[in-house]
Amino acid sequence: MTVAFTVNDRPVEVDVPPGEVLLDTLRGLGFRGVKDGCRAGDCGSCAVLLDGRPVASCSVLTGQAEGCSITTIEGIGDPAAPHPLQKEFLKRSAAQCGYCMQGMIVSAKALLDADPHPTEKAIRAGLSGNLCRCTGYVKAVEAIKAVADGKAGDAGDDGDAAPEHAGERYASVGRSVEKTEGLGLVTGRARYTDDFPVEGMLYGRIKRSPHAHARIKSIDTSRALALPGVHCVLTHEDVPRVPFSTAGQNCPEPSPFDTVMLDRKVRFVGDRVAAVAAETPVLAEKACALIDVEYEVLPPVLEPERAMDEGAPVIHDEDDSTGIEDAARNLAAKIDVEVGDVENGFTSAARVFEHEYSVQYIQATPTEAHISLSYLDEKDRLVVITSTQVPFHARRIVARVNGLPISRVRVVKPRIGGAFGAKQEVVLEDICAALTLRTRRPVKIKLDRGEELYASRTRHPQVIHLKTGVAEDGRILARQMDVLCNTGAYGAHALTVPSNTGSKTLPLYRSESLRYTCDSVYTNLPIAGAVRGYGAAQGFFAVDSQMDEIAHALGRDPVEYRLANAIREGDRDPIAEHVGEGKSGFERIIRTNGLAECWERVREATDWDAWHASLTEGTAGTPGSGPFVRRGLGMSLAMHGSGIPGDDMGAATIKANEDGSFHLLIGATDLGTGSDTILGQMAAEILGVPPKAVHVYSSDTDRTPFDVGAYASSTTYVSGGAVVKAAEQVRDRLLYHASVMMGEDQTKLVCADGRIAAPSGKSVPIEEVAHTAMYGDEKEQISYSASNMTFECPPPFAAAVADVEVDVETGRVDVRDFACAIDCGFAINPALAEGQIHGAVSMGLGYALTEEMVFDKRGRMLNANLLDYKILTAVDTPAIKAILVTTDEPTGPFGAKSVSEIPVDVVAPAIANAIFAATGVRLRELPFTPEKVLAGIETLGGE
Amino acid sequence: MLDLKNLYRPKSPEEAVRTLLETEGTGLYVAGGTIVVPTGSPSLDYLVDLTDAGLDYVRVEDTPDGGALVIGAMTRIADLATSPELASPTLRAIIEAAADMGTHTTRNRATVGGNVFAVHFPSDLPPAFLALGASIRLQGTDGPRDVSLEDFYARRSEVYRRGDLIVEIRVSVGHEGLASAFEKTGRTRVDVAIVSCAAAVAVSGGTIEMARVVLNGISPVPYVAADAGAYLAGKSPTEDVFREAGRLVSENVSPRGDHRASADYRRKVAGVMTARALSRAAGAV
Ligand SMILES: Cc1cc2nc3c(=O)[nH]c(=O)nc-3n(C[C@@H](O)[C@@H](O)[C@H](O)COP(=O)(O)OP(=O)(O)OC[C@H]3O[C@@H](n4cnc5c(N)ncnc54)[C@H](O)[C@@H]3O)c2cc1C
Ligand code: FES
Ligand code: FES
Repeated sequence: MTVAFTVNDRPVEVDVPPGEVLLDTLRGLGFRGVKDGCRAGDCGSCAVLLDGRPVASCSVLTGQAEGCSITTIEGIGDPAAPHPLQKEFLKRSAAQCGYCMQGMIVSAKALLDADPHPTEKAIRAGLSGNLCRCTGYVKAVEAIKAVADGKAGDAGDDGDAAPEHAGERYASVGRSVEKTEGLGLVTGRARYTDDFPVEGMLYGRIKRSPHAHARIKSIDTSRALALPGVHCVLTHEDVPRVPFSTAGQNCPEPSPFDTVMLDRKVRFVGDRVAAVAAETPVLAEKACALIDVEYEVLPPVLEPERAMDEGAPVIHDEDDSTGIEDAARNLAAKIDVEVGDVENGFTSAARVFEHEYSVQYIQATPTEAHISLSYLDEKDRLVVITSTQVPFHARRIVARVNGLPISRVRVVKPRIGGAFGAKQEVVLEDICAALTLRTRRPVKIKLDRGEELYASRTRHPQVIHLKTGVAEDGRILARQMDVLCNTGAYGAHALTVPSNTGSKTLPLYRSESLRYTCDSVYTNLPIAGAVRGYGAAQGFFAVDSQMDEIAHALGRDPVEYRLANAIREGDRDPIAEHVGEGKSGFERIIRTNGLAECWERVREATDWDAWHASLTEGTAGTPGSGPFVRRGLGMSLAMHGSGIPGDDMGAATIKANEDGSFHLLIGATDLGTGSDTILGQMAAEILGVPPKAVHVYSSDTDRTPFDVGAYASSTTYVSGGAVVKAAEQVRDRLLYHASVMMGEDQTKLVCADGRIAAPSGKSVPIEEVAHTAMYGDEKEQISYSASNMTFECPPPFAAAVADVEVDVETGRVDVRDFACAIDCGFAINPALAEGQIHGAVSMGLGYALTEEMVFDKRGRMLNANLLDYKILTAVDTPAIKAILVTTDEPTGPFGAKSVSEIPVDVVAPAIANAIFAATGVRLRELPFTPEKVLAGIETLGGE
Repeated sequence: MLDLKNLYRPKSPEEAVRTLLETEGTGLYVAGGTIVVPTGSPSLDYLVDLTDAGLDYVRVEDTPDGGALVIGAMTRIADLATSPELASPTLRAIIEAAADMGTHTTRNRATVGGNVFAVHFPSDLPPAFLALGASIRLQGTDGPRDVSLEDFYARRSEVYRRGDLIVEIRVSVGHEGLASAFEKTGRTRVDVAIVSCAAAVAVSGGTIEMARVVLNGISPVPYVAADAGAYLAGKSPTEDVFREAGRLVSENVSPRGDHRASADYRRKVAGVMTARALSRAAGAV
C-alpha cells in the first residue's frame, strides 16, 4: 500500500506491505538513528515524534501514519548543527552505548516543547518509556534539567568534575573530555551492526527447542526449503561437529568444550535446533515453523539441587565433550580451596554464624540484543560484523568451528548497544558464518527480545551457604563459603564465574582461615555466562549481608565492625594465589586501599547520620513519606579486581601523521563504556597533544592489534598499559627528531601542550616535528606497537549507602537515595567513570529488587519480554550519587584501577541491609519482590 | 510478526463494522495498536484501523439523569488524563487510572476503547469506569446499542457479537456528592497492575449512602466487590470501616497466581488497595 507522510518536514511517499511497522519503514528510508530494541512497545529505543508526541514506532503500522508528521532523531539536529539537548547530552557524556539515547532525546524534546520548565519528577515521567541499561538515567536527567533551566554548557566542562589534583599533574587524563564517538551517539549517526546496509543480504533465524531436554529423532526440512525465498536450512547433519566453548576467554580456554554448533540433542527450552536463511524476516520465521522435528522427550533437570542426585538424567551424555568435571553427575566444574584450617577455627570460635543466601537467574538485557552480520568479501574472506566484547576470541572460535584458518576470518565490532558480559560469548557468530559459507550470501541474525532473554546468556543462579566463626572480640577466625552454582545447559564460564564468587569476596574481611567450595552443575535451563560483577555480585550479597547480621548479633556498629575487619594496605590477599582463571593464580598485595575514605564520602553524601539520630530505640526504621511506609538506611563494602593477572593481554599501535595528529589502533573493545575515549586520553597525555588530536580505531581483527577484549574489568588497567608503552615509544622518536631540529640533547626534551621544549627555552610545535619526521632528511613513519600483560590485579574498593522506603502493606520497596563511592585509583575520565557507577548501580538495583527470569514446570521462561522482565525505568531509579576516590595505584596507568564492575557488587547487600533497617526483616533471597518483603514482614509480626 | 494482506481505514463506525465483517479472512480492529501490532499473529489477514472513524472525543452530554461524560473509543490515554471534562472529584478515578497507565510512549498511542476491550492483562481503566457505573455503546450491523460495562465483562458472550465496535464509554455524572479514587500496585512504579482498585463513594449526613468497589488483577475480568458495597452502605466513612471492607474483599476473592504474583499476594493486596481507594475517595468528598 502507498502511504504519505512527512519525515523531518520533508514529504515522503512509500509503498509498503500493509503489515509493516513504522520502525522498519523509517529505517528503510535511511533514518537509522531509530533503533530496534524489542519490537513490543516496551523499550523506547524506536521512539519518534508522531505529530509531536513520542511514540514507539515498532508498535505503529506504517499505514496508520498516513498524513502524519514524523520527527526522528535525524530531524532534531545533525552533527553540524546539534540541538541544545544533543549538545548537552554530549557535554555531560550522558550517552554510553547510545542505543537508547535517540529515543531518550526525542522524548526529552517533546517534554520540553510541552513544558519548558519541568520538575525532576516530570522529566523522569517523560522518560518512563525509554529504558536505558547503561546510565541509570542520571546524566540524561541532569542534561535535560540544564537545558530547561537555561544552564546548558555550565557544567561538565573539561576538567570540571575532575579529581582535585589532576589539573596540575596532567593535561589530558583526569579530565571529563567528551566521548570520541559522542556526537554520533546523540545525533543518531553512530553505526551499529544493524545499520550496515549490505546488498543481497539474507535474514537468518534459529529454530529453537520447545523442550527442556530431548533427543532429535528426525528433522525434515523439505517444507521449509520449498518456501520460495528460503535459501538454506542447516541442521546438525549439515555442519561440522566441533566441540567448543561459547565463552570468549583466553587460550588455553578454561571452560569445558561441551557445545557444538548444532546437535542431535537439545538441552533447554530455546536451544538451537536448526538455522535458516531467507529473504525476509517473516519468511525466516515461517521457514522455522515449517521445519518438522520429531523429538524423543527426556526427563529434564530443572532444580540444581537435584542435578547431582543418583539417577538424575545426564545432560551431557555425548562422548566428545572435554573439560567437564564429571558429566555423569551433571557436574560441570568443581572448586575446593582452603587457606589455614577452618575446622580448627570454627572449633575455637566463640560464636558461629551460618546462613543460606540465594540469588536468581537474571539477564544482562543490553538494549541492543545480540546481532551478527557475516559476508564474504572480494577476496573470499569471511567478514563478521558483530556486537561482541571479544572480537579476537570470536575470530579464533568462528574459524575453528567452521574449519577455516584464522587468516581467512575478519571480525569487526562496530558501535554496540551494551553488552555487560552477555556478549563475552559467541552466541551467533559461528552459525551466522555457517549460513554465509553455505549460501555464499551475506546473512544477518538478530535475536528478538525473547531470545535475548532466554537463549543468550544469563547470570549464574547460586545457593550460597556462608559460615563464619568469630572470636569473643569479633575477630573472624574461620569463614567457609559453599556454593551450589547453576550453569544451565552448557558450561560457558562454569568454572570461572563461581571462582570469582569466592576469590573476589572472601578477602575483603580478614579471617584467620578460609575455605571455598563450589559445585557448578548443569541443568536444563538457560545458559549462564558472564554478567557485570562476574560471580562477585552473587558472593557479596552473602558476605556483606552476613557482616551486617554478625555486627548486629555482636552488638557492634555495622560500619565500625566492617572497617575494623577489612583488608588493609600492605595485606596479602589470602586466596588470590590459589584461585586463578581456571588454574592457580598469583600473589596479590594490596598497595592502595581507599575503603575508609569511600565510606566517609557516602556517609556525608546521604542522610546516614541524621537518620540514625532520628531512630527510636527498640523500633525498626523511621516513618516514611506515607502512612504505611517505613524508612531505613543500609550500607555495604566491596572490593573487586582489575583484569586477570597472568592471562589478559592488550596491545596498541600508534602512528603519527605529518600534521601532529595520531592514530591509535587498539584491539580493546568499547561497549559504550568509553574505553576508546580514555585510551585516547592516555595516548594524548604522553604525546603532549590534546585528546582530539588522537583518532581512535578499535576492535577490528584485520586492522588493530590483539586484545583479549572487554571483560574482567581489564581495559583501563591492562589495555591502558599497552597504550602508555606504545605512546612512550612514539614520543621518543618525536623527541629524537626534535633534538636534531633544535640541536638539543634528546634526553632533556619534554613533550607538552603541543610542543617539544628544551630547558634552554627553545621549542618546536609537534606538528613541525611530525612533518619533518615524515618529509625531512631522515624520513620515517613513526609507528609503534606495544603489548601489555601483568601479574598484578589491584582491587578497586567500594562503599555504598542505600536509603529505602518500604510500604509495609504491599511490601514494595522504593529507593529514595543511593550513594556509591569507588576507589578506582585515579579516574582517567571522571564523567565516564561516574557513568560507569551510575549504570552499574542501576543494574544492581534491578538485581536486588525486580529482575528475575521466571520458569514454568517444564523449563519455559514465562516473562521473556521487557514488560514482565522488570528492568528499572527513570521513574523507579533515584538520582544515584557517584563518588570517585583517588588513591594512585602505583602499578596502574596514571594510578588507575578498574571501575566498571565493582559498583554492582555493593547494591544488593546495601538494599538488604536497608530493608532490615527499615523493617527488621532480614531477606536472604534475591530479588526482594514486594511479595517476599511482605511475607517477611508478616512472619516478623507473627513472631 | 504481522504479515497482513490489507489494512483498511474506514471513515465512520458503520463503515468500520461493515469492513470488518465483510472482508474475507481473519481480521481485527486496530486502534492505538499497542497490543495488536506487536503481538498480532502472522495468520491475521487484515486489520481495520479506527484512526479516521471519528471516535476521538471527550464531551459532557445533557441527559435526564443529570448529564453524562462521553468518551470516544479512540481517545488516547494521554488525552484522557489531561481532559478538562474530567476535573471533578466524581471522575477522579478515571484521571488517576489514565495518568498512571504504562509508559509515556504507550499513553500517547493506547486508546480507551482498546484498554476496555483488552483482557490480556489487568487493564487500568475498566475498574474506574465500572465503579462509576459506566455503560458502553456498541455498534453492530444493526446500529448502535448501549450495554452496561458490567455486563460487557460478566456476560461477554451474550452481549458482545463478533464485529461489534466499541464506539464510546458513557459515565453518568449526575450523582451529587459521589467521589472516586484509583489505586494500583505493581512490581515497580511503572508496571501493569498486580492488583488495582477503583472506589466510588457517596456520603451524605455522615453516613455512606452508596459505595462501589471494583478490582482488577484478581480474576480474568474486572471484579465488582458487591459484598464490600453492601457492607459499606449505611456505615460511617471511617478508616476502620474501610479497612473492614478491605478485609471482606480479601476474604471473598479467589485470585489465581501467575508469573507476576502469587494468588496469596494478590488476595492480600486486594484488601489493601480497597481500603486505600475507599479512604481516598471518601476523603475527597
Ligand atoms: C509498555 C506497555 C505498558 C502498558 N502498561 C499498561 C498499564 O499500566 N495499564 C494498562 O491498563 N494497560 C497497559 N498496557 C496495555 C495498553 O497499552 C492497552 O491496554 C491499550 O490501552 C490498548 O489500546 P490500543 O488502542 O493500543 O489497542 P489495540 O492494540 O489497537 O487493540 C487492542 C484490542 O482491542 C480491540 N479494539 C481496539 N479498539 C476497539 C474498539 N473501539 N472496538 C472494538 N475492539 C477494539 C482490538 O481489535 C484488539 O483486539 C501497556 C502496554 C504497553 C506496550
Ligand atoms: S523497539 Fe519499539 S519500544 Fe522497543
Ligand atoms: S546508553 Fe542507554 S542503553 Fe546504553
